Amino acid sequence: MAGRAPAQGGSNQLPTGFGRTLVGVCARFVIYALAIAAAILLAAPRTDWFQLATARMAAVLIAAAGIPVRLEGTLLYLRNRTLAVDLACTGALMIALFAALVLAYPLPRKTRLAGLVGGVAALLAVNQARILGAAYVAAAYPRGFGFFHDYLFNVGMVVATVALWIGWLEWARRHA
Amino acid sequence: MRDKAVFAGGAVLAMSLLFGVLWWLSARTSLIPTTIGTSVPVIAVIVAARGVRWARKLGFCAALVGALVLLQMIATTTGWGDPASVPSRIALATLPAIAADMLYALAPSLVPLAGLVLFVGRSPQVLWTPVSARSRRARRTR
Repeated sequence: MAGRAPAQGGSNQLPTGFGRTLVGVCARFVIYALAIAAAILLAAPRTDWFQLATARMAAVLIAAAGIPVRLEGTLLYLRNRTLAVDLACTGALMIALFAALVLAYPLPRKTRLAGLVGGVAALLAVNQARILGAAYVAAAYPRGFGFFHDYLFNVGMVVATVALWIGWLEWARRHA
Repeated sequence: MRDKAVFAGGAVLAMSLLFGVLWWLSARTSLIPTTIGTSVPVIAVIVAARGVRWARKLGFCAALVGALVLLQMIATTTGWGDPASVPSRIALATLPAIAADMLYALAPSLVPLAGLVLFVGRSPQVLWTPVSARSRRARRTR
């Protein structure tokens, strides 16, 4: 992999050196992802502010959408179902993976910072849309909740992460 | 722009088909689709890529699915894949517990994305530039 010919383009070829080879970039992605995720998991029992903030924001959006909701801590009580906003529901792990994808590429610091800020903000918005979608499905189509929440919306978060990463990479290539 | 639209359309179509197959399979087998499901978008992107040989695409997809099935087997046999026990393990905050949680929570997304990094490589253009355009460019370069 590391020694294969450049794909194409030409203007955006990365410099040589293991950290900048394809395998090096991949190794850095895995290391960054594990480190960020470990930090999140270690901090999780002590700081639930992120879950509380996510739940509060979601409650505001759900109420604005006209769905009756009552918030207690990180629990969203809907008319016929309760949604618990746990760590997985905050999108923190997908954000960690996206951050690792952006940080792993040996591009200028400004480019990575721009990708990080824009991408994390976008993923937070996508996650709020996911929770709002789950609440809507729970209210309007309770039988389909499992399918949407467990399958479709999970895949949706990965789609958003991949699309944002590819978009950022293309943007960075053009602005290189 | 047209190349990107064709690639995006292909990826959406491939993802819909893959997701449909996965959904059909999950109702009939003990396959845990939430694990394999996270790789659906990545596999769809690989399948829809226009500048890559089919042997390479299939190789990547087979490697991804193989790695995920292996991870799921490890998680199932060790009990790490039990979501109910995750909060208590996080509360312990020991290094092996954190490692186990990470295997459960992160690996299903980490493995496909690492595969995608290797596949996309230095430029995402590899995904939407047709093989014919690449051959022409290579001939011109020679």
